[in-house]
Amino acid sequence: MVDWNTENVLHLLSRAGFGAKYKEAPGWVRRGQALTVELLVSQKGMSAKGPGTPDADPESLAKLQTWWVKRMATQNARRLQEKMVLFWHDHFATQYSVVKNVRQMAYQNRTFRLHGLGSFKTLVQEVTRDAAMLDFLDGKLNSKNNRNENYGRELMELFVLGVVDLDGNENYTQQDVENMARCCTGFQIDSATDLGFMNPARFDTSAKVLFLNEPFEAVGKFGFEDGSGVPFPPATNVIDVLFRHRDTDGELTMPRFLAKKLWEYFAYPSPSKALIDEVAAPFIAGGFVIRDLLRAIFLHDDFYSEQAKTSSVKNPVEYALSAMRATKASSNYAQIPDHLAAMGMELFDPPSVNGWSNGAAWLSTGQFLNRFEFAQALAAGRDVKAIKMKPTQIFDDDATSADQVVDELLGVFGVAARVPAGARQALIDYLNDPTPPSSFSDPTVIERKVRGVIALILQLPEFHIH
Amino acid sequence: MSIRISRRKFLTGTAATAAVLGMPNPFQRAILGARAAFAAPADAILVLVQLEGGNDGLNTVIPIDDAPGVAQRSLYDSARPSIGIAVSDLLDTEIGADPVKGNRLALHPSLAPLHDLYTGGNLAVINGVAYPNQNLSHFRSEDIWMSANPTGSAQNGWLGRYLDAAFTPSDLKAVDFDNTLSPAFYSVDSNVLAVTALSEFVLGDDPLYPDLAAKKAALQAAYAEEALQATGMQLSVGTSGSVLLGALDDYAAVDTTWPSNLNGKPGRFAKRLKDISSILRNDVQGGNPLGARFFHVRQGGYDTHSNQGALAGRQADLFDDLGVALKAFYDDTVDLGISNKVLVLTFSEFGRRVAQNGGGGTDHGEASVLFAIGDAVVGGVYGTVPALNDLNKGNLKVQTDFRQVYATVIDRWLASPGAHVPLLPGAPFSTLGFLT
Repeated sequence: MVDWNTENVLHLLSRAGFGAKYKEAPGWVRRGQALTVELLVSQKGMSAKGPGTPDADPESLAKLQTWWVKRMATQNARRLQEKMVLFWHDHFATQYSVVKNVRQMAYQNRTFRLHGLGSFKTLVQEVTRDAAMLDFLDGKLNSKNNRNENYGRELMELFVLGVVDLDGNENYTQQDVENMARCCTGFQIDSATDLGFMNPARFDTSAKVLFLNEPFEAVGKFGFEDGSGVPFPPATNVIDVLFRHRDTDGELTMPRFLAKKLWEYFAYPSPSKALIDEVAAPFIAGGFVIRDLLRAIFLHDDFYSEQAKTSSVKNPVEYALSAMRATKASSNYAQIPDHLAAMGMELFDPPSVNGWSNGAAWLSTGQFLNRFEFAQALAAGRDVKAIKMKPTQIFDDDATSADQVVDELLGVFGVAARVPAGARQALIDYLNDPTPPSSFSDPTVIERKVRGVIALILQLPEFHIH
Repeated sequence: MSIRISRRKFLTGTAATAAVLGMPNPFQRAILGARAAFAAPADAILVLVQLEGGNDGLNTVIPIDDAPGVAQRSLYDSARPSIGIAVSDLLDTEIGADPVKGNRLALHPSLAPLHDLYTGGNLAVINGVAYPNQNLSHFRSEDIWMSANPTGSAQNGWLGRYLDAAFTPSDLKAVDFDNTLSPAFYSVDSNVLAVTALSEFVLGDDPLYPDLAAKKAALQAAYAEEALQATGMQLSVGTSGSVLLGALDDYAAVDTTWPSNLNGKPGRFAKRLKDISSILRNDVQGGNPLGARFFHVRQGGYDTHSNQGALAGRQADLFDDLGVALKAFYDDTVDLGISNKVLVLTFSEFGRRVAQNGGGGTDHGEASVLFAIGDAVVGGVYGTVPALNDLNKGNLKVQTDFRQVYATVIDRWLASPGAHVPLLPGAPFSTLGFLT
């Protein structure tokens, strides 16, 4: 068991949510680790759906983005649920710029909110018949007479199994891709409702062979479901076949694939096989319920290791919203999606079906500079229509020296322990330039210099990392 | 699974396919006449152009007629009833014949501007290129092309390894015009700038109380300390931030308001090439030299599972932008007097299935075609278009290992013979004749 202190609480809230509000940590410390984690993972599916018109209207998209950003910024009990909506949007990445239908994107977003902590089988089923996905990966074109491999390939490669297992051995063949494509036939989009549906007339009813010559080879008339919860065709749901796939160690492939991806998303890159199996065990035992996997991650001691706290780069949503929470900033959120896009994360439009490149890839030159830009916009925020931040809410203006102010603010942003002495001194020198202020309650000093030093702290390497 | 065994078997013999490729098409050589021998200059510039999504090579370089023994055109017609390009539409963009099969070939009509470069002897067409034992995953394939490593997971990119070997970490020699850094530039300790536009080189300030100089000084001082004192990810962020802050003003000062041939050309791809032109112009004009010589720029959208089209459609739309932009960029290098120092190389992660699918598109395939552009290029057609009567699961078989193309660029453009050996897994590879 780890020591349940402020540092560990802040780490959990940074990863399992979007950062901590100013002075939020003590309440979670008092609750203890087990209850804190349980409160996050136990949230039931939520059907909240953002606004969206059934077309490619940029204003409608902006409204949907703003709606979602506001939820991520302000939800507290459901912060992990919204974090998982973001994770699944990255995992089942679907591009608005291809789909060109805001309502379909809003429905998909709701699906992630409804099922993002629940049964992974249900989630895969719902994504397979999701209108935006049917459009994006050509599932709507895939029929018994006109096969299209696009979705069937990505279902195995990116969504459920991975190209290779943990030892680098291929999980499936091109023949499996073709057969999986046949299993995925029959879905169409109802343009009146923007929902997907199964059209039995377009479904390939013939038998398919998956994973030929493997111990888990499967032969049958596999398909999915018709939306009623009943497999279609009856009793031959191909998701069960996928979930039975085993790797070259003889272990179930899907739980290892998902456990590794979630561990890397929430903790650190390249976890050991033993660790992957440890956190996957309750997920397997419980019949593939996602919250079981998350609970195991957030209760694992390695989740609170130095490596887990220092080896990932915040994605733009994490960076921007953790800055806003820490500073008690307010906003109508209308301009935040554009900031996120400039930092490399246009919500509802990931760069490809592979989602965003996480980790150090977030800090390309241009995206780095756009983080600096956001930090400055927040620090200079004086208008709630954009961002409003009042420095006096997060620092004690009775302070008598620049050292005191810098140390207090470094604490507010949770980076005091990691900022090198020389970097701290650069911040103090900035506050003392051109002459050390005689009072930090002087509004001019606050407006000119304290806001400036807040921008600088948000721009330091430490605040980009978690 | 049989694929695991065949992969290992295949890899033992990768470098053996070069014999016919080392020679340019003799027919084309005769038309162009002898070229002056060209030694790769020490200041050779490379622009890597990525056609992302898997470009359909068979509708990029298209058979006009059948070859003796291989009915290339007839098989093309039957495989592609609605997305095939009619022979009558190909006559204005005909290039040299297939160097092995001898049948006539043409560029997609939307690539007509590249045909001009071909006629001028400044375009090499390299057919049938791929990595061995195709995977057909976009992302695995991109990793392989970027790392030049078809097995295992490489940490570094092929150009990143070159930068590590050729320069010191403080040199800033490469700019990637993309949202995130291309894995081709991943390296041990070389710094590479990655921006979507030169206009991103700017630091924000408080509009009410402008204080930029003081904040920038504080930021530089703090990052310099980070680069010295930090470890792990913090060090990596500190170092790259420090390098960036040092380069910021120089790149912000690059003039982009000049009469480039790319001005007004459609698409984001053209805008990014224009920024590359502007960086090269900055150095040619002897201002504050930036020294960047390696560039990567990406045009996305080639994953044409549906509505690929023939003369019009998704691929034609992309080619319209691509052809015009690449020609205008070449014209810029001519105007700047550096067309003999700039090599443009295109690539795509794979080609596409020979037979069209039910959605008027094509699914993931194998071998595809590359272009090399520049005055230093020995124009012509290299490599044979894979035989349409000898497919691998419906896909074009690889004729040339992609690392032979890289080896040619490294040995004949960036460095000297044999330089590719420590940089490319599986080396040595025989080089090709599109550079001398």
